[in-house]
Amino acid sequence: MNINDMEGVPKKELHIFYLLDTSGSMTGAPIGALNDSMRDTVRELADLSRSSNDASFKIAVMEYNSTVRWVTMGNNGLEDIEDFIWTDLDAGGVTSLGAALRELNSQLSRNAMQKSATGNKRPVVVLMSDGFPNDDWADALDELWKNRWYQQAIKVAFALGDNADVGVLGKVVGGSEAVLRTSNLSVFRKLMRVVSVSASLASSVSRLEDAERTGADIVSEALGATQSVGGVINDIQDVFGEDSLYGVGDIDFDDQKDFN
Amino acid sequence: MEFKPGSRAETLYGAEAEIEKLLGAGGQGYVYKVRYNGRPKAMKIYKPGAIANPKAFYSNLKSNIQRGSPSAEFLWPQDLVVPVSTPVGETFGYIMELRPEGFEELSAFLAGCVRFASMRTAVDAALQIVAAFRVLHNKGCSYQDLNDGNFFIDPRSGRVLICDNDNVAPTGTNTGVLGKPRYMAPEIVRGEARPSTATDRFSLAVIIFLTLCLTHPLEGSRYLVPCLTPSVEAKLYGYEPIFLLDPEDKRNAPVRGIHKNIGLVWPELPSYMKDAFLREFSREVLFNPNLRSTEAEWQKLLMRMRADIVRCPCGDEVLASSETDYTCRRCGRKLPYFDLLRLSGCGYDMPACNGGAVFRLQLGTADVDEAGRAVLYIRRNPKNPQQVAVQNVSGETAECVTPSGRLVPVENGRAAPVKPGIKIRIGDGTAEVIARPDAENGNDTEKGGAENEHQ
Repeated sequence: MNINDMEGVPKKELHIFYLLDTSGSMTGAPIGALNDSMRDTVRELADLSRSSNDASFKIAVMEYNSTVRWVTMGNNGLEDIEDFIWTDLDAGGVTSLGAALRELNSQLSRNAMQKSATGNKRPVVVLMSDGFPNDDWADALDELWKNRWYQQAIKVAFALGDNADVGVLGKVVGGSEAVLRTSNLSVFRKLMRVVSVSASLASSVSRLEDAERTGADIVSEALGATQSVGGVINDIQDVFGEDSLYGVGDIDFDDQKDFN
Repeated sequence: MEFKPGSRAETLYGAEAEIEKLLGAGGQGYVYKVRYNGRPKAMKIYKPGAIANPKAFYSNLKSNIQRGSPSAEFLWPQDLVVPVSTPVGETFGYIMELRPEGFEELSAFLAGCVRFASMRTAVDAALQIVAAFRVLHNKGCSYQDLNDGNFFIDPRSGRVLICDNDNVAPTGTNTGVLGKPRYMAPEIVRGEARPSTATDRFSLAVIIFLTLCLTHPLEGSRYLVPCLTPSVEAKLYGYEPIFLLDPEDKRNAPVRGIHKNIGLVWPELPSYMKDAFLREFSREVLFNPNLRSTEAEWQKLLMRMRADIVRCPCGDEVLASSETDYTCRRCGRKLPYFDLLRLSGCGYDMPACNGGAVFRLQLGTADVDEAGRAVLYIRRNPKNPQQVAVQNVSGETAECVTPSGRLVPVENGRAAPVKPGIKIRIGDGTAEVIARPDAENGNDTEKGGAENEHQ
């Protein structure tokens, strides 16, 4: 036998979706902060993917303003994180959140997700907005919530600046506890990276006893990572996994058929 | 909360630790390179709120420091960083040795980023891991969060260092950690048990299997579901764990094209190793923690496997156990002839090939601390490469009995030739050189060239 004939342990894919608001109100420092933070985030995620033995990461980046566009070039918007190079985005136009959610729904489809022979970990969805949606988002959101992939996704939103619609973002990600509000661009830059990493590793880190771990712990962790903020950042629920993780009994594998 | 370079942290027993740089951040905290009592060390600082019960955790860390390191493999906590208050809450930490150059995380080996120099090096790493856990468990402690992030390994030598010893606690005490998904014992996943020596043993078996086979024992076809939801994970690792090679239950069988590693390595494993894995991951043992193999049992198996690995002149490694016909699967040729060593502590004979090692446990019963220690090395005679010799590295003087019955003392570091009829006695144990049963009709073999040198 020759040990060099072997490869790494078979691993699943982890798909990380970013929905980034690049409407006109992002012009100037905000779009600069977003570009900076995404460049760092992508590099850090690529390092994590390389050294991970339970998931290889793929990234899909969507910018939405008056229109919706996948920045990533791969099939279905997904690209191997190690091949993806961040290219700066420009700001302009209005906030078509509804169109963005519809496009996400169609990408989170069986065809897009089942490209992987080993299957997927729960996807990660990171949504960012600094304003109010200008289109019909409610129906699009209803449809999106029917998607099993979306239901299972680890979801977090950034509400950037004072004009962001925290209520809508909360509805999109399943509760205002999962929305991080900040007007401080340097905090945003750092938290984008921290939250992306935490969300991507949610099911790959040692677990504490569930009962002991409260949302307050996670708040203080997120606060702790920023050093200079206090009070404006809310609980990032779901980022570190859910309470029910190992409490579920037998499940019919037929359930997997619903991932379409 | 990150500390800036140049800031200082107060320790309980030593001087202040001066922070030089951030080495890494994990779920629980940060690791810094620091200067402590004039020496470079590593310092782990917990994130405020990351520890469920900080008071109990702190006092357990303190007890571990007072108890001292179980063995040299553990990068054990050496001093406490006393609680400091920060704008986001109180925190504390501990001081330990830095990871030496050249050591890589086990997770990088599993990801395929780093490779062992050889299968024998992988076995050497597994041997050190089980020896270290045997000592730890023997001291009445369990590790509680055994996973692929806890080991630093030198890929060339297989030398192992064990880090993250902050959850180690006397059996019966829990620090609040449950373990890492994929490594947690099924009964923990089901919420029926807390980490203990018995659950450590499940994680250890997974680590051994992963290290040798680069495949997770419970991740067969069922792992390939479209979406690994929490409920699927609970089933795979807790409620319905099935070994991917379970002979009776094929529902989790390996899938061609994906589980390539197991297809390569399983047919090559010696039968005693296959039997051990089949037993360990059988339904009966998965659901009965008391039936799990002990570290001593893994030690015996891995020592035997190490002894059986011989390198063919073509470069491949061959498991030359007595049950095989000494043929290299890759090149199809018979291995060059070698004699065997009959060991008093085990029921098998091992190839006496360059690079082999005999451990104390293989000569008979041994103390827990001594069991994994090499006492004899088999080396090529530098003056005559055709000749192999047994070198005494036991630390005591051995006795060589020649075929004519003469007794010759062999001091530590000295060697005796490998010649049928020669016996080496170390304490109560004996290693006897015997000719291979097929030696007379082995005329198609070339004498002296086989080796398990793995440079």
